[in-house]
This record gives sequence, C-alpha cells and structure tokens, in this order.
Amino acid sequence: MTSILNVDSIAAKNGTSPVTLTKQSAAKAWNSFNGTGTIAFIKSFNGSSLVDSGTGEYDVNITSAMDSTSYSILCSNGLHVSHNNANTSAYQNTASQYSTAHWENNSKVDISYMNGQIHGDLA
Amino acid sequence: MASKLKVDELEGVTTAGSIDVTTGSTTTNLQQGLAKAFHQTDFSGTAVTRRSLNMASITDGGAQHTCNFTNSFSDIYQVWTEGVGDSDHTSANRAMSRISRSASAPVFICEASSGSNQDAEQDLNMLFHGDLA
Repeated sequence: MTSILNVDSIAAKNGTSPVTLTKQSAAKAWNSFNGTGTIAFIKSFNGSSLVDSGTGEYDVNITSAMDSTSYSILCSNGLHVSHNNANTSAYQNTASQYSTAHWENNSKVDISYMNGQIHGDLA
Repeated sequence: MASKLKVDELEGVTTAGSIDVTTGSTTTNLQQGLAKAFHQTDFSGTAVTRRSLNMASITDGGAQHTCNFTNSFSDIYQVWTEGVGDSDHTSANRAMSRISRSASAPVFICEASSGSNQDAEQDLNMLFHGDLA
C-alpha cells in the first residue's frame, strides 16, 4: 500500500537535532548571480546578499549560517564567452559567507553568470 | 529513543512541494535543498552515463553536450555546478560552460585551458538545483 504523509514541517524527536535523511543530504544553499555591472542574484536559496570585492571576485552571504567553515562549496562559471585558461575558485570565508573568483589567462575577470552550491550542516 | 517513520511519499499540507526541516537552531526547506538532476558520464569513447537523476538522455556532440531532462525545470535558470576529471588528470584544466539556456535541454560545452573545445573525457559530473515545473 502506498502511503503519503502530509506535513508542513519535520523536526527531530528532541526538537533541536538535525533531521536525518537516510543515506542522503540536501543542499543548504545555492545561488546564481550576474557578476558584471551591478551584481545581483538570478536565483537563490538561502542567499542574503552579494559583495563585489574586486574584478572577478565576489563574496556571497547566506541567511542561515552553516555550523562552521567546514562545509562543501562548489562554484562554476556560467554562460560561454570564449574562456581562455578559465578557472573558477571558491573559498569558505566564514560560516555565513563564501567567496568565489573567476580567472582567465591568469587574471581575474568579471563573468556574467556564476553558480554556487553549499552542502554541510546548518548551525 | 530514536524514532523512524516509514512512508513512500511526503507532501506539504499548505503547499504541496514545501516542507520545512529542522537542522539545529534553524530550519531549511527540504525540497529546495534536494538536487533535481545530476549525472556522471564517461565521454572518453561512446558516452556512457554511470549515474543519473532526471536525465532522459545526454546528447554527445563532441565537446558539446545537451542534458535532456525527464522533468523540466520551472524556468531556464537552473543553478548548476560541474567537475571534469580523469584518472591521470589530463583533463583537470577543463571546464564546462553553458551555451544555451533551456528549462528542458540546456546545452554545455567543455573547454581546455587553451580555450579550445575538448571532450570531457572520463568523468563529467554535473549537479542541478532549482525548481521543477
């Protein structure tokens, strides 16, 4: 018999511990943003604000912080624009902010579309 | 005492596709956090997809790949990340970028550090988040 549980919220039995998703983990944040001109989110889950911290370099603040700086962050550049020697880096600045940068030919350059995803535990 | 609830399907009451989950001192949305599509494909010869979710097919056009989703996204702005690699890291300097947005079949291209288009070789991993239609 198929069963469906209709709820709005799921909590651990003690009300505070993280709910266990057996053998899987959900992303705690993902964001895409325009990195040229006035930077702005295109899509965001748990993203709060963006900081243009220099050419090709961005800080992304998240609303609900992670439990530490030991979370997984993956970033990729977006739309195709003749990338020579292209590379995108990411770094966990704090529990509530990561930074990402886009490089071409050993120099940081602004890029029109950046994506990032965070996995780990929220605070 | 630990407790486990066994069901086949969860559905939000207020909004069918929205259930909050406690994760310590805060909550997060379960459905928003779940990947809606992914694949790991070997492009070193005839393309072989080893693992996938929500991929009806992956079109191999040399360096250019189309991800044909079984269930389309709600719009053309999926959030995606990628990783390209092989056993001897000769493709480690390669990266994917998107050349065509689509809710159902976005097109990506793999480029080497020289800027030339290259096959993704042994491992192309892609992960997609966002909302399904």
